[in-house]
Amino acid sequence: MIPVEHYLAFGLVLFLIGAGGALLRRNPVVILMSIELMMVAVTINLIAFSRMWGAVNGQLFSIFIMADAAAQTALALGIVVACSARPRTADVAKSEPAEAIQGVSDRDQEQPVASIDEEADRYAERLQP
Amino acid sequence: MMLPDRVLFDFFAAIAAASALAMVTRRNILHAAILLLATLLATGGIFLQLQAEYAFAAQLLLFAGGVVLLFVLVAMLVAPESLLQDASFNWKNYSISALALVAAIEIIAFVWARHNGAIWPALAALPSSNTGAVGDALFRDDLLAFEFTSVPLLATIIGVVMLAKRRTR
Amino acid sequence: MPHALKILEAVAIGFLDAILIVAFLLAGIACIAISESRIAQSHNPESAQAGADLSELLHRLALSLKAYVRGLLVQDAGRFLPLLAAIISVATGVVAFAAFSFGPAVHLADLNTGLVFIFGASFLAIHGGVLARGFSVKGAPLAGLARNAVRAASFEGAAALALISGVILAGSISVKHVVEAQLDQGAWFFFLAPLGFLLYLASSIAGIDSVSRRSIRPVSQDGEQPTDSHTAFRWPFGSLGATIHLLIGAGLAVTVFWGGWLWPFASFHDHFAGTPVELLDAVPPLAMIAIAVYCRRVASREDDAARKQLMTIASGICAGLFVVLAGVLFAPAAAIAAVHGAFWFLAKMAAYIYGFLWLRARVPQFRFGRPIRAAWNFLIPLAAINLICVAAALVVRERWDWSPTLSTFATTVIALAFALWLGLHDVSQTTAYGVEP
Repeated sequence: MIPVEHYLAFGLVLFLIGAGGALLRRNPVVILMSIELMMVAVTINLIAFSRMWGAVNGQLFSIFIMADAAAQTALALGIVVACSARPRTADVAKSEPAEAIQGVSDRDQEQPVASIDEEADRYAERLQP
Repeated sequence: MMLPDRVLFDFFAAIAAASALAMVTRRNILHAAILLLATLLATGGIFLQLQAEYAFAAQLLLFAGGVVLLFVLVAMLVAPESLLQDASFNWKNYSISALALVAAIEIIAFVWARHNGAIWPALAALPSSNTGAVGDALFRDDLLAFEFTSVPLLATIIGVVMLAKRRTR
Repeated sequence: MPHALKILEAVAIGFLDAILIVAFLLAGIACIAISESRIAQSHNPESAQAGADLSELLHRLALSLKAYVRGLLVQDAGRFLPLLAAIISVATGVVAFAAFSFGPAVHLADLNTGLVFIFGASFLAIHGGVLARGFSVKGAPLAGLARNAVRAASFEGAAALALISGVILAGSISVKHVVEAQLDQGAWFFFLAPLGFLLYLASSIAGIDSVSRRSIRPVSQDGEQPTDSHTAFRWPFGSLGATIHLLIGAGLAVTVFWGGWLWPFASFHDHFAGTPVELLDAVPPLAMIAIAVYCRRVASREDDAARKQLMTIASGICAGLFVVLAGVLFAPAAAIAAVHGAFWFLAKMAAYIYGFLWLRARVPQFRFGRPIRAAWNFLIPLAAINLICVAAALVVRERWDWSPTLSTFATTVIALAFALWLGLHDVSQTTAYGVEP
């Protein structure tokens, strides 16, 4: 039987790696992944504690965390896609996200963003000589 | 024939930690996404070892299936060139020193706690199949919490629809 | 060092299991590829000039490998990710089949959350497909990838909802318990939730994405397609994921709706003791010997040497299986149940896959927008309503002692009425917006 400390230590390691990645990386997608990692670390702790007390409530809340993390990631990735549609950088230090999101609607009226179908057609044309 | 618990734990923990470390240091986002997948699967193994079978299945379906797929797709969709070739680390972010402080305190606390004898009770035995208990808790005891998770989900749906509408209008 | 020995033994057993499942998967993939091209041939004779046999499969594999190697040299996709795509595809198949139950006690892992686990693993197989296609041509398939993933996710959602109608009938998500519930209740869940199975079938057929569907068609001999590395890549990797996905889907359908390893009338076996129904035990060996004889006859008539050899080998394997299946009849009842259970499970899976391929060859291929809309406007709401109806039937049966037939019939009619309304509503809306004819 493994003592609880081992699981806690493992969770700590994952959390620190995730936090370091979230603070140090510039790439928004990698930052999101690191946040994901931190959530997984918390989940490990919850489940280890739940096993420690012989109850299932920790497992339950780990499931809530997963659902919320998945939803939040979907939204955050949506924002990343919206931001990087126009400004050609995905560096969070260089681009101003709020302005980028607000600006998208104005600029789109002048020059609509190609729909996914048009993009596909263009790629298909490029593929076939 | 079962492997000893300790071997399984070390195996999964080593894989998870190594791929997590590789994940935050790789420059290629796609590699990072795959390494995240490896971390999540290895963590799922640890869940299974803790007899959290439902959490394991949810992890597989939600995180490893859904979220990582989203990451892979976004990594492919969002201007691959600029994403793959940006400067990977932002060393001037001084909040990292706060993190280092917290980490140092935690590790010292950990070592101190272990030095002064175990402060945690040992793992209790769960029934070998506790999925039914999870279901009972989910839909009976903690129903309010379960219902409240729908609020952020609704907010997410609204947010995503707004983003999509803005782009196509 | 007994400790080290123990570890070694466990690892060796794990590897053996994995090898067993991989062999099973490979055999399944080969069977699917061959029957797929046969079906395409019978459906549309002039399109398929080369029937797929072993040599043609090998030829296509070689072409794909050539294109793959050339792609590695030309593009900087990296060696790591395309290889990983293949590994993910196969590995997810292995872990999913480890959780299936092939007989009363024949399973590698009896997970409590077996069905969710298998579903998650089959969702992971999408990763394999996405990665394989994402790297077959650099930059090209981004939009296509997005749409394929969206499509897969939509239809997985519909299929999951349809599967849950079987799960609530069993009251468990463990594979073992689902099958045992069908034994106890005396009916396969297809007969208690017919609409659930049909919805599952429909969403799996529609959810197969356009790329992998095209890839299995025979490659034309004048070399127009194989030179295009994008096309040739699909066979080993993209299509591998799709085929394993198909196998897992078939296993799920058979487990939840068609009684898993149960043989027909299994619940009434003791009831009919001494009647001709007992002869059902003789069906598996008889079927095997019939297949063996058929293969033998085909082999003697075949001109092509490679095919002749293939059919001879097939008939030999079937004869061997006949000996096993017939021999086990004289063994204790538990052994009969285990071996024949596996036979019935695989036979049902084969029947499901054949029906699936046959239907898929006949259902026209829609444009991208239409199946997605069908999923969200039709399949998912209908699956949800069907779920409610099945639950209502369950309540009515338990509270007021309605007969299973009556309650199932009534609720199915309600769900069908809803389907009709939904279909008409969808059609009228489509014309009102003028989206698509």
